Amino acid sequence: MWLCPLDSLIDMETVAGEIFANVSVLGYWVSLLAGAFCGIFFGAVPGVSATMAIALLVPFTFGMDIVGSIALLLGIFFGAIYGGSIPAILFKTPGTPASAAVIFDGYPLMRAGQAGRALSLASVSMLAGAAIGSALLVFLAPQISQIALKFGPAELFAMASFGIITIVAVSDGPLLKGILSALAGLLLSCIGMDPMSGYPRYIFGTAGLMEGLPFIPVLIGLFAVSGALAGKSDSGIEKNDVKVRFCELPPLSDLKKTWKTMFKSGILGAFIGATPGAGCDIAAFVSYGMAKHSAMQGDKFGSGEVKGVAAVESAKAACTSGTLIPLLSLGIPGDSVTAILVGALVLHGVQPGPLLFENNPALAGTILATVVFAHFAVFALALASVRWSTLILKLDEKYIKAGVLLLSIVGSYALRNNMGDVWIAFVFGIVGIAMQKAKFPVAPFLLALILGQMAEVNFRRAAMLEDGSPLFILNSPIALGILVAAFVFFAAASFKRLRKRM
Amino acid sequence: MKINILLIAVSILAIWLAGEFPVDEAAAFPSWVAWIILILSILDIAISACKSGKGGLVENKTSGSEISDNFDASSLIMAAMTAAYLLLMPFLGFIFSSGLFCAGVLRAQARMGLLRAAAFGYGFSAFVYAIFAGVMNVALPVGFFN
Repeated sequence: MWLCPLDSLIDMETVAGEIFANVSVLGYWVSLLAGAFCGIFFGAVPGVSATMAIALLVPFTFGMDIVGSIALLLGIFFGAIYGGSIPAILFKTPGTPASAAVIFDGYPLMRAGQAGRALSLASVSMLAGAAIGSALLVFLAPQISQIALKFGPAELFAMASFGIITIVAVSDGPLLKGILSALAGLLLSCIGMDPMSGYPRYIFGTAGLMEGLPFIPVLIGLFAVSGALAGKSDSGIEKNDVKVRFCELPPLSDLKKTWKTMFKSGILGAFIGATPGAGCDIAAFVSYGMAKHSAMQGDKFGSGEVKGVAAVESAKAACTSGTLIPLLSLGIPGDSVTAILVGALVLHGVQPGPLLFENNPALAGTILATVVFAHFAVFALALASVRWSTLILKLDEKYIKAGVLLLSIVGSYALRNNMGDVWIAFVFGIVGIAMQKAKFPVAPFLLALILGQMAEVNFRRAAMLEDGSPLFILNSPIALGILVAAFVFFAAASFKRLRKRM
Repeated sequence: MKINILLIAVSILAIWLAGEFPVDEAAAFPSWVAWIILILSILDIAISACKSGKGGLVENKTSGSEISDNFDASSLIMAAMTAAYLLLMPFLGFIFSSGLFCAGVLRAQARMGLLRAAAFGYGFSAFVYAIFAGVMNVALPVGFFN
């Protein structure tokens, strides 16, 4: 165990005793459950990301002790990442970008009258992914951090390319349309201030576009607004089809079918989460792509396959623990959420990093224990919320449609208090309908839009380090390996498509 | 086909605008992407043309009719109502315009009674306002009725 640089068993016992004392306080559990509840609630509201949820609730921790604060913040973080999947499965409205990937199979399951099954499987997969991510965090954090720290611009470019290539390879519809969809997303990711030179590109004098095209309104438009505007295709569910049980658990057959997918996605999600700069959205989409690629005969990816839900949820949860690996072992925040977490910890006088384990092993151990308990708290609340959230489906679909449209609009507005973002959501709602009509897959477009800037910036940085040569890839075995893997994956998926057509 | 033409137009515009950038480095990446889009869109159009030449017209017709089923006149009305709502919101304020919008959608879609539609519309708008403005401190538009 890396967390205990202790010399003797007696010291270890003392630390264990302190950890136990820290977590056996009622206030700790109240904070943990309140954090998980608020996280799930805010995550489920379209437009409110995990980063926003934590930023909104950080002030509440000012008057709390450090242990209670950590419990509240981790509860919010994990809860928000899970909570985004609830509206994604029920209304095709992802609460967070990472949850967009669960729509592909979660929403068709809901339409088949199996919303409870999809939500309960999502919560169990979340727990499985969390267990894998947390185990890696506790036992292998230094090793993973060392690998992740070798990721420079070339490797990050390769990683972004891998994500985009994978999702193009497994997307529905003709391959050429998938490539075009991803390229369109890449082109739109160039809108805004050039990250290297600061020159504003394609903003047409609009100050609101300086930071780039905000992808949360785009996401809301492509999935939620387009679904609410398009007529009959999304109204296939009858009120009587909705089965609501008092305690919904996924069938044993689903768990038997999906445990391998959960395991693989969990490992992948934790590694992606541990890489600074990569986030849970990449983990979710790449894991979905991998699961779809290794589909067996009879698997119905895209039309309600339980493995699709399991892959995304497991990867997302593992990724949340993964992002804490560089944070706790090296003091490096991997994404915006962990950056806010660092700020909150520093406010309480705690500096995350290797010294934390040397100077305050009891607190470090408490943080690790809280990671595990927070995941359990989210799981318990998620399972308990299945019944209440599926009850909403008993409402007449017209109410739901009006409600989804209104929430989508307010969610887009809430991001920056800007009407321009609402118009972006509306325009992309129409774009989403047009894309579906022309059989252009939406997922490659969205992922390319999210990862476009990461790909471009790191490509340019890596090339700059090699005197402008794009052959920098050859000098980085990790980047070369990732890109070769991406192209092998792409070739294999294309071959599979060809065989299907023949 | 229409989306391909749109993509061609957008990529030509992107290449032209990138040519005006004073910083070459800032123009390079979008220009490459736009050139690839241009070439692939033309290729996609050519492939579609070849397919329709080989009797793919029947297939295209079938898929087209499936799609048109999904996007009907009521969808157009919804889109128009949403656009009008977005235009009016800064002037009428969030609660008033949202209540009106929800009631309008329910009247148009579900042929619901005016009172019931208005009750749901304003009730739900007030609920959403309470969450976003009250809990999350989002400054929603207040309009003339501030």
